[in-house]
Amino acid sequence: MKNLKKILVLVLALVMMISVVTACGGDKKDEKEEKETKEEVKKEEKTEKETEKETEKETEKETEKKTEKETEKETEVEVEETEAEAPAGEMTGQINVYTRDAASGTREGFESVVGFKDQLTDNANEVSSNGDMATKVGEDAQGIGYVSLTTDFEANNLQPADYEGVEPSVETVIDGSYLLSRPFCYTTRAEGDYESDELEQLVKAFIVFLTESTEGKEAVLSAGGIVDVEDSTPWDELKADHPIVDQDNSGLTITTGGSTSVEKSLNAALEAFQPLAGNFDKVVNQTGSGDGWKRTLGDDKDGPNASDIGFASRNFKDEEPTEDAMSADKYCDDAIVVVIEKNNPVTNFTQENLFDIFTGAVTNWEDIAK
Amino acid sequence: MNRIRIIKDRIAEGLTWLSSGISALVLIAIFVFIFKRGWSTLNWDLLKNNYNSENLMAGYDHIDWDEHGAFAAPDTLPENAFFSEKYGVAFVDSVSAAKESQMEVVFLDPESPLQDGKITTAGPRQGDKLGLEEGLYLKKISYINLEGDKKSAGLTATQGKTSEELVSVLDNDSQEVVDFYAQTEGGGLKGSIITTLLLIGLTLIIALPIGVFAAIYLHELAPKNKLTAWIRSSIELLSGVPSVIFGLMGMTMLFQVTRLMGITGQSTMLGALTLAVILLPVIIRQTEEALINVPDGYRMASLSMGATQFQTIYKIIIPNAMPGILSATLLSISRIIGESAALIFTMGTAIMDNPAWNTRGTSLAVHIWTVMSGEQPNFELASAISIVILIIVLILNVSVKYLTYRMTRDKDDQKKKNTKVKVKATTET
Amino acid sequence: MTTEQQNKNKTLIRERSAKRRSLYKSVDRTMQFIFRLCGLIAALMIILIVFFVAARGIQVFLPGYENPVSLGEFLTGMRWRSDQGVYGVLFIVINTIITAFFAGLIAFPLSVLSALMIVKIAPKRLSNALTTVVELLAAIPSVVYGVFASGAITDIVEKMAGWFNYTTFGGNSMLAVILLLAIMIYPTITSMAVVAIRAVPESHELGSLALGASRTQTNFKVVLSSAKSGIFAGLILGLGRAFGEATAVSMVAGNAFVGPTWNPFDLTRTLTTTMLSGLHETVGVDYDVRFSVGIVLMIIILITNLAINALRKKMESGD
Repeated sequence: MKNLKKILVLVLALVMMISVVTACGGDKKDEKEEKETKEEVKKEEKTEKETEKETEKETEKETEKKTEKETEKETEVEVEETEAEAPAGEMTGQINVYTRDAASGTREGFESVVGFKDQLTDNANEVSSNGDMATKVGEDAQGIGYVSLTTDFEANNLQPADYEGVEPSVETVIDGSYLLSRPFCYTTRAEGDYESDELEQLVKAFIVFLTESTEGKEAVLSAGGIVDVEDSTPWDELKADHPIVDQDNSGLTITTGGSTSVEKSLNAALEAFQPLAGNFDKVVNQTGSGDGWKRTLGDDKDGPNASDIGFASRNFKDEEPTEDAMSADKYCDDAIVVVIEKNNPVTNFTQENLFDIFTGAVTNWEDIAK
Repeated sequence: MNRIRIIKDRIAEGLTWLSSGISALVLIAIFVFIFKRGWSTLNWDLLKNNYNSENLMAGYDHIDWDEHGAFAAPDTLPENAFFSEKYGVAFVDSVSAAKESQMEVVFLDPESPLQDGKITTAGPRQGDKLGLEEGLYLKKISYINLEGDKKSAGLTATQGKTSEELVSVLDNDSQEVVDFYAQTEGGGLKGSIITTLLLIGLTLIIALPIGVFAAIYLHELAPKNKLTAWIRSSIELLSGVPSVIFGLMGMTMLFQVTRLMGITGQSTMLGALTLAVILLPVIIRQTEEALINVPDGYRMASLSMGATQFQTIYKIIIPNAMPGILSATLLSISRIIGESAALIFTMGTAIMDNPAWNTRGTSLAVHIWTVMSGEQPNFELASAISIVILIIVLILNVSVKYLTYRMTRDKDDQKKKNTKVKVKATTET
Repeated sequence: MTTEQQNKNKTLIRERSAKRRSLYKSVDRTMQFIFRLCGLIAALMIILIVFFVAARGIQVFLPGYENPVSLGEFLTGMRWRSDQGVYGVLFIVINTIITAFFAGLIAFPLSVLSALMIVKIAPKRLSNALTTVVELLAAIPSVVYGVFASGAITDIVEKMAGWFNYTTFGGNSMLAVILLLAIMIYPTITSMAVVAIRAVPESHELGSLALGASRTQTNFKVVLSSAKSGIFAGLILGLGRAFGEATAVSMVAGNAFVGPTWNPFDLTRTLTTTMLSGLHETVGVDYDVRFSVGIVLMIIILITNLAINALRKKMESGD
């Protein structure tokens, strides 16, 4: 009995060691082997149809591999040509449609530009966030989804696709040729509804800095927000109207709420504004677009998470009237990019393509209209 | 017969080993997964730094730029640094733990005119001397170009986004520097670590007494009637309510309690109160389990010796239920440190550097949430924070166990009679 | 010593002890009051929660509400399309029960056997190490579990699906949810079971051994059945976590729009992922209806707990 125990301890230790080594790849060999044997038994029972399917699939896979290799070769030789004439017909198999949740600003922007509101196919995978979308589409060779332009495509094994032949970039969004975009909007509290008069002045100054000044726009741009820096005024000229910035504001705190998508560009703007406006304090308390209006003008405006400025990565809805706000507008844009897995040869989609894919009219890659 | 029994026993025991083995395997896979992704990001600076960097701006209006000649690069410069001969300053490009590009100042010549900047930000420090010192992270620098126009370069400008480009702009296109905007190093976890410890302390102070007392009431004092049964099952119901709901409830209802304490917004106290509610079922159930197994003989013996009910509870029942209470505490700590959904509503997502019981703050788990919820989630940083969480839990775990071990051992030394159960408790904890 | 003095002393002692007794009594009473108060606070919390959820969740069915949802359609619907204003919760209920049940089915035996191993079988050092590991696991934030699941578990599931000739959405499926939940509830059940097994009086075991039962027999037949109450309490807590977990599950569930899901390789949707997905982004009826989902969830948990308790009682009376 004691020997048995010792042996078992040893075995357990061994298993642990092996797991440490193999787990790095996320694989568990023992489990797999077990399942494989079970699998073999089941395979024998399979009907002809299934074997047919299997062979089909195998051939599909082979062709896939071939196309991959071919396209790789092509891209090596003539990079420009492959971009211009995407061999859409060579990608085969089921299209896996990925979508954001119904409340997402990215989804709203995407659906309204492509024009299929309410008609999304039932056979779609709903992901929980932009990053979630990026990882999932990157891992799925058959997948298609859409993300924000600020996403790191390389790191997630993704390639950004062109829309109507236009490559997504800051320039193409500003000149209006790339159409898939969504606004980042803000709303402030109502006039006179601030903790102090000074805070109200400071918020007013910040909004001007964010939407009009060169410095503010540059900061937003550097953090991924799309704004036209050419169309701006240096802060030195604007600040004359806002004497509040010339005093020590270290006792004041600007609290923001709402969308998490804006956090990066908002933080950059606030940080750039701090040394220009007497070192005020900032509390960037972002949770989601729905809370932007709620915490400045809605139910929660006097609750524990009341905010001075609320943000939404979409337009404010009809249920979110901003008439009372001291100021409410768009401060920058974000491009929405259709993404596919890195090796997918389809690199351009028209509005019609996307409509078909996302409404479920087209379910296979080979059926996409060229 | 005997042989069959032995075989059966061996099979049963083997099954136990096997299942523990499988579990251990999966668990270790998770640890490896986390460590592999997070380890490289983790370093001491990340732990001790503030999250919010100080934003500094200094101007050079008063400087006579003609006085200064060219500078020579020192030998000690790192290889990837770019040196501006005109101003005697060198920069290095890097990427922060939050995956943002940074431009660090690695060298500033003591003779450089950039040493003599004056802070332009309104406030008590306005006019103080501040140079573009080593260790600062340059965001933007404004200069007068050869045509006499004011331009800017740097990370938040449209040009000069890399050190190389910036240095070439400064050396070839500028006459003089107007001002610069730089940051101190940020992105650290210090504030979140303090908040987490604070939160654990506050929550346990609130939840442990209520939970343990409620369990004692339910098990020792309450009449065995429908009401008690109802209370018990409603407590079990609490354990399955998603924590988001607790968060929303805390935000509207428990907020009124903290308001009585004079807190106007989200606070660590509000988070602790909410977490205490979440933890009640765990603590009550675990404690009750321990109470069930305190033999009835102990109670009767104590009562028949003339001890009051309270004395019995205090001197006999609680010490004997200690292992259960201890395990409840450890499970609670785990839950507190891992919880994020409820805290987002009650403590906010703004990362603070100097948290207190009555201010906002983020626990490490909420810090992870903030890191993961942006447009480009940063899993390396999230894993690094998870490692910090695991280390904190490990330290707390070991110290709580050691403390209890000491406590129970001292008692054992005092009265060696009648301590069988206590001995058991100590050896097993 | 005179009798007078003796009497005096006696009365003095009597008075003192009476005083002490009344003091003890009052301490006793105040402590009883405090204990009762704590019990009531705990119970009050549940009332608060139920009231809070109900107040928000019921209003969407009332006629006065803007765009009210039909209660009948809500309870029997097999589609959840918040973009189209279609809210049907029945298939989600079925999916939730299936995932939690199978997760429990996987995790429960593993947890109980591991607990037995930790307390009774393993050498002391191994047992200490295992306990610590289990306690550490409970502390990993669920978002990290989610990333682990979408990195490692989905890969395995996708490969398995390949053997059966199914195409999955990159491994996001009901099976992935079940495996993830099984891992997540494992520490809860195990640590409860460890406490319960540890608390089994040694006399029970000694009795069993003295009657000639083997060590293993004692462990399985005597120890486990004496610890039954605690083990089942662990199961209830564990299933509670399985029902209530949202963040991690939403990263592998895929949130299917229609259901119920019978194929383990298909996408699924649970009550909590439905509540959480886009919760921070949304307003209006889409926000309020999530609380109705919360009510449904609480009812399911209540029923499950009752069922488990009934099962436990049946097992106890069967012995």
